[in-house]
Amino acid sequence: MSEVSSREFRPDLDREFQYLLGQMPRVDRETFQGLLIENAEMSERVLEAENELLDAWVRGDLPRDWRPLFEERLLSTPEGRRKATVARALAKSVGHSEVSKGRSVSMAAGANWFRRIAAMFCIASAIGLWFWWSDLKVEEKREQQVAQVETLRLQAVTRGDANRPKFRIGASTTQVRFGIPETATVAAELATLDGKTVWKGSATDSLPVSLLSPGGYLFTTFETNGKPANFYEFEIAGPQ
Amino acid sequence: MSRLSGEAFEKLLQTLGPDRENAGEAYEELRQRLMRFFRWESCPQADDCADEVLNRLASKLLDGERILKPVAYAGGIARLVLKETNRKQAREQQLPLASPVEVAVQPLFLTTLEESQSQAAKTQQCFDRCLGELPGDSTQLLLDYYRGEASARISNRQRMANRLEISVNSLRNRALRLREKLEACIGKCLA
Repeated sequence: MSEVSSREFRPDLDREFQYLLGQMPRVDRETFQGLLIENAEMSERVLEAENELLDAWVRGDLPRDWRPLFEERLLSTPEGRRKATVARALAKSVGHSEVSKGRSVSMAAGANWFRRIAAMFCIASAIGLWFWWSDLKVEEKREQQVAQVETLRLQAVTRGDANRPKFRIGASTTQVRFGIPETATVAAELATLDGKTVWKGSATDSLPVSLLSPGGYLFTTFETNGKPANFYEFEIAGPQ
Repeated sequence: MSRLSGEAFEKLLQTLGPDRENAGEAYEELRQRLMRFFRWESCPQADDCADEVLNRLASKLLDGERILKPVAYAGGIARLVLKETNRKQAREQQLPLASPVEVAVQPLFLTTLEESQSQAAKTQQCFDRCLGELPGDSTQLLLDYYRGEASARISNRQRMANRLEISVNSLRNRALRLREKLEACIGKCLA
């Protein structure tokens, strides 16, 4: 299955995706927000777009550049996560109903001819097997997608506070990103507590997990004028 | 957050519709739209924020303010509530470097979105039960509507709409309602 780019992904809902993923310019966004309450049609189009994103995410088909935005914005609330679990169950059921439909059609067509039944049954079984296999692959793909990037949720703390959050990174994680309360995209730096710079980039970037060996870290965000904005201390635990 | 008095609620209903039944539907529809809006804006308690908007709208009406377009007015209040909520969250979360703060001890945790296997199984059980409770041929409509990948869905839905002799928009609204009903049922089942 080739990967769908964000431009190709339901272009008819482009504006709605921009809104949901926080990519709409501020002025347009404010106008759009007003319409969402006033206009039932608009609200339903955005709901449709939200469902499309959720369904693509659980299938592992969401365009790569949208994944971090989607996870940060739409899976950050309990309600969003609940919708994702329903989307996952729905995706499974759609797969199952396709299998059972294939079987029932083939059985009916061959009712008067035993060999035909056998042949059709084989075909239906092959279809069933294919759906089962695709379902399995989709599931694997989604689990890989979820497991690869882990978000470490940080809170600003007093420097040297012993109660800094502590994380243990999952074995299958390859990248981590930092969940911070600041919404604007800002420059950031990660350093060990003894002052050795480990990484520099944008606060919303993900970085290779190989950079994080067990120990204490300081994640600093910067204002546009280069002055430090906030400090987040955390600790990475060693493997269990 | 203030509670809506019976009198204020009645006033709100009178403004939303000509009779009680229509007004009740308009109220529910507006509340749904508000809850979606706050969810899309990542408000942690979307239902509380929606109720706050309705409370403020009702209070204005009770105070004798003449509001010709209550739904548009609710939109304005919603944006205001959103700004207030964002400011409150920012105040709570962005603690300055030098201030003496008490940070709650956070347990060692994995920030993964994957459900545990038992939770996933329970969700699936609830899903199957709730899907079975949908009326008539709604189950098949829902499954057919959400079949396939994003691009394939467009043509699939056009065919469905042709077969049912309704517009694609009507079909979409039916499917969205069914999905919301299913989600609400699963939410109750898991609670």
